[in-house]
Amino acid sequence: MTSSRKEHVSGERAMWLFVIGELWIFACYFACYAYDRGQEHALFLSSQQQLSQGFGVTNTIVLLTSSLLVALSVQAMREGNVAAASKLLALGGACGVGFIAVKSVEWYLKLKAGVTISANGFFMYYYMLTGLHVLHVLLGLGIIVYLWRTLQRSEQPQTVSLETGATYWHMVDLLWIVIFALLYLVR
Amino acid sequence: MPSLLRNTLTYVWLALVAATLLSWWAATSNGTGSASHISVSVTAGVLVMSFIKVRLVIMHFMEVRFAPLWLRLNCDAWLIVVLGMVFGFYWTGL
Repeated sequence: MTSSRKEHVSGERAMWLFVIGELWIFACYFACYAYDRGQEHALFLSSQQQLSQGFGVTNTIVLLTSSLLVALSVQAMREGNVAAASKLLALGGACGVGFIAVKSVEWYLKLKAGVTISANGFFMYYYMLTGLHVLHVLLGLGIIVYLWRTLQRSEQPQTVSLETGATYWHMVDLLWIVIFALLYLVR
Repeated sequence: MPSLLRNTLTYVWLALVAATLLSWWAATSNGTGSASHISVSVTAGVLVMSFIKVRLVIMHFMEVRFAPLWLRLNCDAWLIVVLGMVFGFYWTGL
């Protein structure tokens, strides 16, 4: 962990190109949200009051923890400790499952209260942004399960594959940080 | 397993959680009065906190601090454009 460490891209470069593309696509969604919010501040603010802040904060901490575990898994792999890397990766994936579970409860309670995607402009963005994000979480979980199974079978270091999967997973985390701020916190 | 207390990543995670709780406190009625009113200072604070959090994730978890210049520039450009644009649209709509 020294700053003099050699220049290095974590994982496959192709994944980075994909991640950068994804980030810019989400940037367009965020811009649309911000523009529409600017047109209807009062509506967005009053709708935002109906969200359960606790769910948003819980899920943020769950996903940050998941990212930490996956980053620690990469470190363990580099040290040649495949068993620890595998365990940390599984724990990171479990946090991802927890994120989806919390999000499902949140959606269920909203829908049960009659708040659907067509309620108003704010909830259209709420369901669209959180729904798109959950699809990315599911894809990330697929990658984690695939990597975990590979480690179980081979028990050989798979550093680049793990770094590549981790890069995607951290992107899912950072997108949530922005979505959480835009939907739950901005006033 | 790496020792958590001697690991930079642990402290990055602690900073991320602290920033999350601080933003939450500032944006809800516990921190700054009624949460049902427009607040430019809360919005600006929340966006700055998000900037710091996302940059911590990019630099430390995604290890972009060790990456070549093109990747570091791309990540920083994305952050500045996204959060600048969000605040710009928010501000012009007031």
